[in-house]
Amino acid sequence: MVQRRIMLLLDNLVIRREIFSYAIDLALRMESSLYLLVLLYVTPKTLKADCQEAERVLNDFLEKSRQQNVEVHGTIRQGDPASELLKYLAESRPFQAIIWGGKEQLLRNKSTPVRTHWLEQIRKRLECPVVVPTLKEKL
Amino acid sequence: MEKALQIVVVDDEPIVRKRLKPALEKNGYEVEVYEDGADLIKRLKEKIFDIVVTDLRMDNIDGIQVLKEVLNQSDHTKVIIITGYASVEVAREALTTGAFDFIAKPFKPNDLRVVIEKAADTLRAERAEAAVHK
Repeated sequence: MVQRRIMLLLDNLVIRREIFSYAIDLALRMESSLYLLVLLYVTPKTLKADCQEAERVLNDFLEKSRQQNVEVHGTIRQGDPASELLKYLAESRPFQAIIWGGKEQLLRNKSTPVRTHWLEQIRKRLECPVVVPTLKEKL
Repeated sequence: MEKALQIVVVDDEPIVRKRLKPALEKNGYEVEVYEDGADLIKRLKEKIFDIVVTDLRMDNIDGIQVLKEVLNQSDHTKVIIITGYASVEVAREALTTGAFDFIAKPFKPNDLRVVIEKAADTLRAERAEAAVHK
């Protein structure tokens, strides 16, 4: 049987609470393994602390997933996020879905090509759907 | 003193050539730029570059052809593909054909600088290893 694969993609280290539990729940429902990809954009101001925080986020997620008996893998890549994601996908077996950890509003701003979020710019050219979990708004 | 790395950039977008040449020269590299892949291929017969930065989609010769020509001439040269038509398929083709790296446009000069530094480090490591085995 071919193992299903879901990617959790983070390009920001401010993690929304619901993201990890959503990814783990989806993996359990779809009987999938989880792949966490943390993308760190490298600028002249990128700090060692950012790399350490990325490591901490990754280890936290690996631990939470393993506690739920989900097969999980994690990678941190540094560089231009669009290029790093495309290269990662090019080097990997196909994913059934990508869960993006950012806020949905960020993908909505399409006023100019430059202002369009990097993920929105390449979203249609990915080979699997991108899921952006959002909490239900209170009535 | 270490000799400056020889870099060539081929891209049919004038703005890319105009911005990258001074940005890379500022970092100590010797840089040539070409608008047309065919002109670069002629130049490759005269000179071996350390790093080739090529656009993927160009009128006469595309970046994959440039990549193949470069690798035919020298397997030490690192080829970086840049493209505004980035997709998983394109990245896969570039990397399996032998590109050192792949960058989606739009990118900032710093993004390319980071990749070029990575290529330069790899070249230095390969040369150091080759010197040990001589």
